This record gives sequence, structure tokens and C-alpha cells, in this order.
Amino acid sequence: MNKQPDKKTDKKQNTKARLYRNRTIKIVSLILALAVTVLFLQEFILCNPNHNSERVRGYYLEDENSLDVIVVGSSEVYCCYSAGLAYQECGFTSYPYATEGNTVRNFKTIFDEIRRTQTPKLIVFEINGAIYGDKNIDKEVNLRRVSDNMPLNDNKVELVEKGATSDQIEYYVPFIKYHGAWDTLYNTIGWSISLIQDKLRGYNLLKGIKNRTQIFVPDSKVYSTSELQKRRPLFRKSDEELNDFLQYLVDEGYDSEKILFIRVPHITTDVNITRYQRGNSIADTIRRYGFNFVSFESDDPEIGIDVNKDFYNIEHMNVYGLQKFSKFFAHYLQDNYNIGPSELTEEQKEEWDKTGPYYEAYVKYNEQLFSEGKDIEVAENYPCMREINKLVQ
Amino acid sequence: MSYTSIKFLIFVTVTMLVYFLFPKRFKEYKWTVLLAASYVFYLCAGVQYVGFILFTTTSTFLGALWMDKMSKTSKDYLREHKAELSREDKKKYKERTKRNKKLVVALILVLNFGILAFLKYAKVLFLGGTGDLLVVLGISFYTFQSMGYIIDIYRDTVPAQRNFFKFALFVSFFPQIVQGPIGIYSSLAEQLYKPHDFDYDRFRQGFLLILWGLFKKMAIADHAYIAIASVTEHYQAYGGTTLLFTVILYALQLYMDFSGGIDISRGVAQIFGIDMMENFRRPYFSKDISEYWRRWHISLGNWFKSYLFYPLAMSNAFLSVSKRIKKSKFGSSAAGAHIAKVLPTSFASFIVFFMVGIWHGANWKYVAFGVYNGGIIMLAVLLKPVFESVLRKLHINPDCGPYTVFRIIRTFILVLVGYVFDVAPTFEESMLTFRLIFTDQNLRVGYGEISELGVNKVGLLFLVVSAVFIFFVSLIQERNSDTTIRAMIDKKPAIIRWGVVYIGIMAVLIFGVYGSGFNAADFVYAQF
Repeated sequence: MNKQPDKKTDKKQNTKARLYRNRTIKIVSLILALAVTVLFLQEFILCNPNHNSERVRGYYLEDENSLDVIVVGSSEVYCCYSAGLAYQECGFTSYPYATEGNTVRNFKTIFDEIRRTQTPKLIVFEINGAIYGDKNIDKEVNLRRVSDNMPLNDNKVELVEKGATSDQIEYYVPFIKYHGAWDTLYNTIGWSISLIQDKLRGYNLLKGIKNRTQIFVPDSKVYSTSELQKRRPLFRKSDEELNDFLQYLVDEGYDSEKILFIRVPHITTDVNITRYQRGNSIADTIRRYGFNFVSFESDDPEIGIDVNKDFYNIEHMNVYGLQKFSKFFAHYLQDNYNIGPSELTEEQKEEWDKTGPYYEAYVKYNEQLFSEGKDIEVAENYPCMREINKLVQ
Repeated sequence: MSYTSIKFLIFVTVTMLVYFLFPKRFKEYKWTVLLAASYVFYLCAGVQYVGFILFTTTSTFLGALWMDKMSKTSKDYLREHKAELSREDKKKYKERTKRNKKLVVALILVLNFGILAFLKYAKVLFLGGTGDLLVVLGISFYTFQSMGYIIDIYRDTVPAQRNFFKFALFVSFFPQIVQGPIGIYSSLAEQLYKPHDFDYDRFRQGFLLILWGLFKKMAIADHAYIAIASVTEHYQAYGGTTLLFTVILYALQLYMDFSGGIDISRGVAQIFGIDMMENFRRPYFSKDISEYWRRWHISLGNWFKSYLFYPLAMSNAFLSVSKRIKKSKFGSSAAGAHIAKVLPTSFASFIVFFMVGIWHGANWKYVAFGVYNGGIIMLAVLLKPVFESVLRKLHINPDCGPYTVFRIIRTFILVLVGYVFDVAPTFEESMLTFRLIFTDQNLRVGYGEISELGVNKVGLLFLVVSAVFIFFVSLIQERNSDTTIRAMIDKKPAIIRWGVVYIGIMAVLIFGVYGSGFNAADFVYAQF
């Protein structure tokens, strides 16, 4: 007699259970769809994509323990040093862990990141990051160019805690900071495509180089290094950060066999003479801690720099300067630090064998733009790579 | 705690969990969760401001009880002495009770409106400064709401609330305290005190409304505000074209900001089972200024209508003026008869809008705003026969489509004129704005200036597309006023329903102004 009511109750309960199940599935699906979309946008599109992100993420795409030399620094580095040319000339793998306005405050974190992911024979630090004023040290953007493109780990947390100027959550969820960049997507979509291509490929092709197709001709006196012996004190924060970093290197047991400090070529006029003089003070400090410092400023005849042809502005080399300095520096490392051809797996060799032809295509493309009179920044973004790919042999 | 902040999202979620998980055996006390949440919300604005809301709550509560006691005592006395008292005695007794009640309600009104007036005007009148002495969260809204209640008690239209804490909830209910809508006790109170169970469909509808409000506020209003703020911070630096653009943009920004905030409030309240009244009904589709004010900030309009307009229009003073005009020689003419008939209502409207202007703040531009709106309404009513006669002579059907469109555009322009007073920092600068708009139009210069207002071309395009989108959504709402867009979406297949939610959330996340890259505008009406 009780079977009918039980059947009805059961049906009701089944319907309810089905309803709850469907709702749960829909809600979970919605949350997943939102999460995937936000993560994709945060990773590739609304993440302030530019040459800095392409370069730093390119570093992390490299296989662990596959890089023999890493050059750390700011914009001078990726304008003057081509890892592709170095590999072509001397057979060793290298990478520029360099960002625009990279300050000495970031050096420790970058150093720890390098130790975490690679076992290089040599780490080279370009000292420009210690010449900056205190305002640059505190500038959020100079920190974010590194932190935004690092994976989340203790080093990132330490860097953010040291230098964050806004809500720290924005450093861990950069979408909060950059979501508003949809109104400049037309400028950055080329970089987004490049980031996606690098990720799918597993490595980048130009290894972070970037130049401008312009020739800067100085219109005032260019100082020779012999005229620039004066020292000028560093800004307070730069000085503190530099000393802390050098002491850290010493405490970690590093010496001049594994660490090298350099100054890459610049044009020195009255406009930037004080920077050179600060560089002299930095050199003294570095040597006091027992490390080597080498200046490759432009009047070194061995490099063969032409100040009227090889720069696109007073601080940065164009492709002509890049060719000369990269070749020189690669051989310098080979000769002075015994950096021989790298031991690579077949896959790694396949990757690195591409860097030479791509480097040459990059140079050709730059020269083509020069001949057309176009002033353009050339780097591994989609519009440039579309042209460079046509020139690869 | 801003309605568009993560803190508010967490706050509402926690309140929801506590409310809907409240033990069933104590369900008649569920409202205490809303009270506690409302005071937590209020305390987050600043502990020092709680004294103001507590004063209003206590004075209104006690005043209402006092009047209620007078009414009850009077009724009991008259009932007990029905046989002994003459009609005259009964009338005198009732009048005395009414007089006493009037004193009480006047005292409560003076005290509470006095505080509001003092905070708004003390700095200007006594300290020679500008702006409010103190910006107390929601003081305008909870003062209007509780004074509406006390007037209803005086009128014997609602019974006095005997539970102080229940009354405190009515005054402080957190979704509406920042910027309304102003609730009427008879429709809001019972909903607040009744225990509501979680309802999935109601939650979904409330969530959609919140999402819509967030999109309007964060994506559209706050983007527009970036450009507007650039102009208002350096007002003297811009030409007529830019100023005209700013006023038009302000029309979009103000509507999106205010209506977006109200949607969030109503959506949150709906989740808790409380239906708050609509506060906007597509005001830019209005055919005249009177209609505009019936569609804009509806709850404030209703408040002024119930508690100021009708008492003034129906007062002996106004009616006697009307009678005198009617009896005069002028009154025997058609024009005179018309004026005699409409003068009380039109003059009452003028006074109402003058008060609305004063309520906005201690600045001559707000007074000008009120006088302007009141003046237009007054003139429209007084000159109605003249306009009708013109239409007849021109053989224009007032209900035809083109004329309706003309009226809508005309009303929008009149509204824009009023907005000039709002946007300009001072009355003098509003006059300068009018002059420049008419005498300093230069598209090339304007284009250059507008490009430098902090919103790039893509951002401006977004605002234009958003405005068009809002227009079409409003058009659908206007043509289907018996239902809501949410109800229409509910009838669609699941993939569309969930697609709308997905797109809505992504639109807010991507286009919303938040994070350190922006300075989001606080809700505009919260300053009042």
C-alpha cells in the first residue's frame, strides 16, 4: 500500500538531485571557463607584453642547465650582445637576462634565479643598473619588468617584498594591474603572438636581441677613456644595493672565476659624462670585493667601434655595433674564461643551430630597413618575425 | 567600503552565509543578521560617524512612539468619553492632539534636517570654506528615509515600530545606505523583518542585476570619469568644444554611475529576498522635464512629492492665492482661469526643486540647478495652453513619432543645460561654460584637447559603443516595460543564459576600472 507514495517521493528526490547536479556542473563549468580565460589573458594578452617579457620568459623556456653564460643587465645588454652570434662563433650557449631600466636592486633575485635554473660557467653583470639614481631604484616599472615575468617562487616573493610600491597582490596577480591595457592592444598584440609562439615552440629564436634602425652621430665632443678617470660617488640606494649584492656573492662563495662585471660600449659626451664617472667608482667597489671588472667602452681599438655609425643613441648600439661587440665579447669569454662549445642534447643542438641563421636574417632585416630609411625597433615580435622568417636561409 | 571593492564582495558573501545558515528554530530573529551586517558596514566607514545615525534612529524611534502614544491616548479618551463630550469638545480635543503631534514631528524634523543642513552649510556660512563640514556616510539617504517614516506616523498611515533594533535596521540597511533608493516604511519594513530562505532563482536574478550594475559603474562610468576629471581639475584650460563634449559625457557617466550603484544595491537586496524599488526608468527617453524627474532618482522624487509637494500644493496658503486669482478680473479670462488652476502645483514644483538644489550642497551652482529645473517645470505647466495652441496651428499631432523624437531630444538638451551646473566647479564657471559652448567651437582644437584627457581613441570608441549598447538595451526595456531583460534572458536556452553571465563577468574584469592603474571615481551621489 505504501509503494505509490514512495514512488512519488523517490521521483521528486531524483528530480531534485538531478537539478542540483546540473546546477553544480554548470557553476563549476562557468568558474573553469572564467579561470581559463583570465589565466590566458593574464599570461599572453593583458600582461604588458613587450620585448622585456619576451626576453625574460625566453630565459625560462631554456632547458635547465643548458646555458653556459648568462649576461645580466639593462637595455645596453640586449642591444649589444647576441647569443646567436656567440653560439655561431664559439659554440657556447648564452642568454641576456636583461630588461629595460634593470636596477642593481634586482641583481640578487636574478642571480638566485640563475642558480635555481642553470649551472653556468660564468655570470656576467653589466654595471649600468648601479649607476641609476634613487628614483629609478624605486620605480615600480623597473621591478615589474623582472617580477612580472618570473615564475612564482621565494625569490619573487623576496623581490616583491623588497620593492613593491602598490598592493602586493597585483604583483602576484598582474591581471589586476594590466587588465586595462585592452585599449592599447593594437600596439601589443604583436608581442602577445610572439609570446604564444615562443611558448608553443619551447624557446625563442633571436635570444632577446633588440635594436633600432637609426644611426646616431654625436654633435659634441666624445670623450676618450683616458679623459674620464675622475670618480663620482654613487647615489645612496644604488651604492647600498651594490655593496649588499657584492657581499652576498662573497658570502655565497662566488669569486671572479664565476662572476664578471663589465661595462659595454657607450658614447660619452657632456650629456652622460657623470654616468661614466660613477662607473669608475663602481669599478673600484667591485674590485674591492675581489671581483673582476672590465670596461669595453667604445674607444677600445680591439672592438673596432665607430661612434659615428654603431649607435642609435648615446647609450645603445644599433645592429652594426651589435655585430662587432658580440663577436668580440664571445671570443673574449672563450679566450679569458675558457668557455668552450657547450655540451647539448640533440634537441638542444637543433634549437641552437637555428640561432645563427636567425641572427643573420635579423641583421639583413635591419640593413634592409636602413636602406629604406625606416626608423623602427626590431626585435622578436610578430610583425618583425614575419619579415625575418622570409630572410632565413 | 565601496560597492565595487573585493572587500564588499567578501562582506556580502559572509553575510549571505550567516543569514541563510541561521538556525531554523530562531528564524524570526534572522533580521538581526542584517542589522549586524549593516552596522559593520557603517563602522567600516568610520567609527566617528556612528553617532549621527544612532541619533537619527533614536530620536525618530522615540518621536514615533511618543506620537503613537498621543494618538492612542486620544482614541482611548474619545472612546471612553464618547457620550459625555460634545461634538465641539471632541473636535477641540482632536485638534489639540494634532497640534501636539505637529510639535513632536516638527522637533524631530528640525533636529535631523538641522544636522544635515549644518554639516552641509556650516563650513560655507561660518568658516568661510567650501564643501561639507563632514561627509557622513549616507546621511542624506537615511535622514530622508527616517523623516518619511516620522511623517507617516504623524499622518497615522503606519503603526509605530516598537522594536528599536528593528527600526535601526530600517534606517541602516546596508545595500541602500550609500545612495538609496529611499525606502518607504510601509513597503520596506516587513520585507526586512520577514525571514527569507535561500532561493536559487532569486539569487541568480540578483546576481545578474549586480553584474549589470558593476558593468555600468566600473566599465562605463569610471572610464568616462577619467576624461571628465581631467577637465574639471583644469577647467579654465579647455575650449568650448571640449566643454560640450564633457557635458555630454557627464550625462552618460552620471546615469551609469548612479543607476549602476542602485542596480548593485537592488541586486544585493534581492538575494536576501528584499525587493527595493526601481530608482531609474530610462530617464533620457523622457518627453519633458517633469517626466524626466519622474524617471530619475524616482525614490527622491516620490519623497519630495509625498512630503513636500503635496503639502505645499494642498496648503491653505496656496489654495487661497488660487481662489483669489480665480475671483479677480484676470481670473475670468481663459488664461487667468488656467493660471489660477495650476499656480499652486507649479509654484510648489518650483519650491521642491529649489530645495533639491539646496540639498545637493552649499554652492550657488546647485541653487542655480534647482532654480533652472523648477523654473522650466513651472513655465511648462503655466504655458501649456500656449504650446498646445501652437501645435494645433501647425497641425502637429503631439503623439506622432517624429514629434515624440523631437520632444525626447529637446528634453535631453534641457537636461544637459542643467548638467552644466553640476559639472562646472562654481556658478561663475558654469556661466563661462555656456558662453564658451556657444562662442568657442573649434573641432580641430577640441579633437586635440579631447585626445589628451587620459582616455585614448580606443577608450573613447569603447564609450561610444557602450552608449549605443545602453541605448538599445534601454529601448528594449522601454518597449517591454511589463517585464525585465533578466526575465527575457531567463527564457533563453541554458547556453545563452550562462553565456550572458560569462560575458558579463569578463566584461567587468576586463573593462572595469580597478587596480593601481586607475583612480576609480567614488559613487557620485555618495557625496550628497
